Amino acid sequence: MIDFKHRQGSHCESSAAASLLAHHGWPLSEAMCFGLAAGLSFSYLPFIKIYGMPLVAYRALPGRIIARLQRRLKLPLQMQQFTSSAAGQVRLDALLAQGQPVGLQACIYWLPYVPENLRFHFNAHNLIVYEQHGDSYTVSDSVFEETHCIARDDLQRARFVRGKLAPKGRLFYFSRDVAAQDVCGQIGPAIKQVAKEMLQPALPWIGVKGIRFLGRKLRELDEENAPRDTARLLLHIVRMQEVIGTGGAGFRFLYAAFLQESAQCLQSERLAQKAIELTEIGDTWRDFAMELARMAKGRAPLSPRTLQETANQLAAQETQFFRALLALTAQLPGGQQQHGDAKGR
Amino acid sequence: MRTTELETLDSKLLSGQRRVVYALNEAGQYQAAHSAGWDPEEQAGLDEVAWFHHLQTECRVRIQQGLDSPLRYHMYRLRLDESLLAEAVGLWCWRVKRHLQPKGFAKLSPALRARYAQVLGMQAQDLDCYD
Repeated sequence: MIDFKHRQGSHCESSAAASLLAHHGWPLSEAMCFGLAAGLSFSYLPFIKIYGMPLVAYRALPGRIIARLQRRLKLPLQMQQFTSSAAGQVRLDALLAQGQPVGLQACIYWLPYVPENLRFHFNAHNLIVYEQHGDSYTVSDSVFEETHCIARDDLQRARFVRGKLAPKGRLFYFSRDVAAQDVCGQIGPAIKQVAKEMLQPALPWIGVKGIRFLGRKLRELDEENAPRDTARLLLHIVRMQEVIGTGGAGFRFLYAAFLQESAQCLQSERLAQKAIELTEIGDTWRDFAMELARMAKGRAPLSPRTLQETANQLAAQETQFFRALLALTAQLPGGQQQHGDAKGR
Repeated sequence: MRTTELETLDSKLLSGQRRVVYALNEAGQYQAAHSAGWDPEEQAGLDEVAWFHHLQTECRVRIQQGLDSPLRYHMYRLRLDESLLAEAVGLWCWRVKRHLQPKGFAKLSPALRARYAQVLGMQAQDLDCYD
């Protein structure tokens, strides 16, 4: 019997990392994990399709958050993938027998405890398994309020699906307990990494350029497209921003929570101010979602021009915000030294 | 977002679950708050569910007219599309597309049928049913 405390969070990956870390002696908040892992981003990738829709992501690629957190905080986190499902299961059972809670990557569609309406084929969902009773496991899935039981076969299927971002039975666990460290020196470099990525000048799909790109794509919508397709695209963007566990406004509020917590940690009034500014940007994102949903549902006439204007306004706001944030990081601890951020990605 | 702006919605999407969102409380501090849903979120989430429902119904009619294969019906039932199905079975997309046609479906070898059935989480003989 492991004394594992289930914690609910908004984003599966950062809260899975936070729960495991708390179990091993370092109660770091979900927002802090997300922020230190430089989780915030924006990308609009028209050439990667999910259900025929372009990928719109408000955060770093799946799997990156845990990897970056591990690197930044030098955590004793072990990760493993398997070529055979039998080997994956044996390893999981062995770790559980040692009393280790284990983080797993799985396809959300095949998890029976997930409500029917939320089950789609997304292969990079993260959950924690901490107990085994014969043929069933106890799961702490941080997206939900309660813990759940899952049968061995169901879990195996979810862990070994094939396709994009295939989990290949990926599991992660801490090889030893960790002492709480002082993270003050890590905050500056982590913020810098996000700000640089958001302001990157090269690729048109990433960062604030990506937001403008999204605006241009929305501008191209017109009456010639089938109304059903247009509605699907608009609602798809809302889905990516609000429905999948983002903590609201495409992770903007979660990141603002991180900035606020960091401000307290560093006693920085200006950083606290930034958290409030980002909240306002997040509110604009929410208005954008509302606008998209209204147009998709025919409650407001479709106006590509308005959508592009909102997207451009968001891009402008975020440009200004991240420029100021980047300037601010130079004054934070660890801001002066040249960190290996390029490698850290 | 402020905690006071959180709606109390009887969300069909979340089916009674509450999720965590981050919002400013009255003291101006961020806190993780429970959200029972938000209207645009609800619209967007349920729309995707409805979309697959629509594809399924449409497909059933086409099967009855002999224009489509039951395999396509099961694909939509499991909320997959052609490329996802192809990746999951490990076949080229063009082959899967062929199997999704009534003619190609009829010619499927028992081995391939078993592979599809395994990926779709069902028995091979049930592949022909579509109700």
